Amino acid sequence: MSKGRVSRSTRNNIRGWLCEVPWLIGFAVFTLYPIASTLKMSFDSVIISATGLVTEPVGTDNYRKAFLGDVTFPKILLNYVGEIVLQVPIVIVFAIAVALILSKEIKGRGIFRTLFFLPVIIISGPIIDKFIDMGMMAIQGADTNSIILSVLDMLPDTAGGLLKTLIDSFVMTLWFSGVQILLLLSALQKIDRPMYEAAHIDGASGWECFWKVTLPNLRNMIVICIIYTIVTISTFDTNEVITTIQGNMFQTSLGLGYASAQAWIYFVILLLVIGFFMLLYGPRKEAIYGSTKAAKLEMKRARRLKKAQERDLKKLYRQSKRYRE
Amino acid sequence: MNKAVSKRILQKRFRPDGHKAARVGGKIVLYAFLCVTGFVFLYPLLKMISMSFMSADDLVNPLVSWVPYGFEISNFKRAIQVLGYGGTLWTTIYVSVLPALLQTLVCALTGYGIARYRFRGKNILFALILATFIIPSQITMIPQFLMYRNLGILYSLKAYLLPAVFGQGMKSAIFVLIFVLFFQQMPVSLTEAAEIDGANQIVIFMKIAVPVAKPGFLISFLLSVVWYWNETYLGSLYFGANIKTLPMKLENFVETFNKMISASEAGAGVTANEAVQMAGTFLIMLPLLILYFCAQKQFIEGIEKTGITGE
Repeated sequence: MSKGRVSRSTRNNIRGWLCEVPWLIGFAVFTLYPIASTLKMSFDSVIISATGLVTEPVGTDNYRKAFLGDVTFPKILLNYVGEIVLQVPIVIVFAIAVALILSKEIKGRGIFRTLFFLPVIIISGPIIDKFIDMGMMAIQGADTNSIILSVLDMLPDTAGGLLKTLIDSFVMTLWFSGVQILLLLSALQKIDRPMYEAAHIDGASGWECFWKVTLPNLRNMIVICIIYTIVTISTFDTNEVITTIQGNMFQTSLGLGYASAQAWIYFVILLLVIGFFMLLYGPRKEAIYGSTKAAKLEMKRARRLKKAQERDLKKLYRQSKRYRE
Repeated sequence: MNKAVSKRILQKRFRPDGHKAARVGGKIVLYAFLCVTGFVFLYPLLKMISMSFMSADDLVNPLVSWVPYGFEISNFKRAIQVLGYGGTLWTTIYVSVLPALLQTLVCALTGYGIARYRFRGKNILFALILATFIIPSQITMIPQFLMYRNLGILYSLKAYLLPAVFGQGMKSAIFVLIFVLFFQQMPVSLTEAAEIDGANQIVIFMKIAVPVAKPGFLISFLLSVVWYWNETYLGSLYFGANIKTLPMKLENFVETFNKMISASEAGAGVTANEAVQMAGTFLIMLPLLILYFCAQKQFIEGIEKTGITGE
């Protein structure tokens, strides 16, 4: 019996890893090796010539050039960070609002769900480009509204520019919320009804219910949605950073080394952006049942108590030993 | 009767703000919000459709904002000519369907392994798979580009197919996650019973797991097709000028137009105006719109089920 179980677990081990073989090979060849290779190239000067690649180590020159020599790249990066920090909350708040409304008994729910998911299907770089060119993604009338214009004038240059791009592509920002709305909607349906009823009996208003019951229950899903939003916006075809990187790949004066360095800088900044949002609103395991801080303190105290007990026991044991001698 | 009354009492009790007027007012606000945002979503599409039928005169006429005076079909004729619509459509279909098919199958296998078997290092592996989602393609594309060049598969569809076969296609992590969630729903007792009846692992996968995860297969395949269809960045890098999908052709629509039409109809005052461009955009979007309206139930329910089965 026990022999059979052991062989069964080894069998499961083998079968499990067999299923993962294609992915593992692919990961090593198409992801891990390229990442390492990009890192190595970012410290080289790499130029495609007729005979092949000409590589020459140059140290940190590429990175220095990206931040100090290049006039546009730091500006583009800064713009990207500013835009994404504004866009992510817009997408998330909008998705939560729509999901909350659609989770109520509303006529035409299906139609609205279909409508809000539609952009996920048709969104692609060239199409968005065309729409932005035609001014279809702007808030209507915002570019002629004197109040908005005067506010834009008052703001410092970068902030005003950010606000302007936001207005110009406001609809596009909302267009990125299709998947998130559906995910939040399904998470909302999973929250227990009795929890709301209990809250009502305790005299909580709808507003309080939202903050104390709905939001904590949605927390993990919102975190997923935040990451999803950041990644989709950052890797979208029209993103200025990535078009710059691709443009630099084929410029013989700059070469692949410089483009690699830019790609790595972009990757690190993307991670930092995700980290920033996780600090603001990260996952929390016991969000519903009380703060983790209290739980952690409790555990620490228990551990300290246990240690003290062990120490006492040892002391006792030593004393008894000495006594026996 | 009694039941209805008690229900009404319950409703009153659990809705302290349940005054009828307030409720109706709230509903109106909600509907207004939905309609306004719904319109914001639809606005570019409606505008595109309306503009694509406009003649050059309608475009500059300030009196025409939505409905043109006549339906200008020539816009579409020219756009079809510029895009080479028939041939390009076929190219786009196989460029998106083939990698999507391979990707779905491999991700299903990967997800199945994680959901079904307990093996050492499983959790770390799963975390690794999910983490690949945040790796931007910019950081892998330069070595990949060089690799494909050395393998001699650059500028052909194989540059899409090869990573897809090894589970590194477009947004693979999401599909693996979808499959893990769907396969986890498969009851263990079912597979155990099948094992006792002498079914081998392949039979179990085909006869039990695949039917259970059917919606997972559907949503993965559909999303994968859509994402491959809409990708132009990697496509133009790996395919160069050899393979041009519809969205890629839209990128230099105006130049192609000037070369093809303006040269042959020189002096006729034919330019790549907004109407023709919108007609082209509409044509490019049309297959996806048709796909969506045929399979919208699968799309929406697939995503919702993914959300419900796990987080």
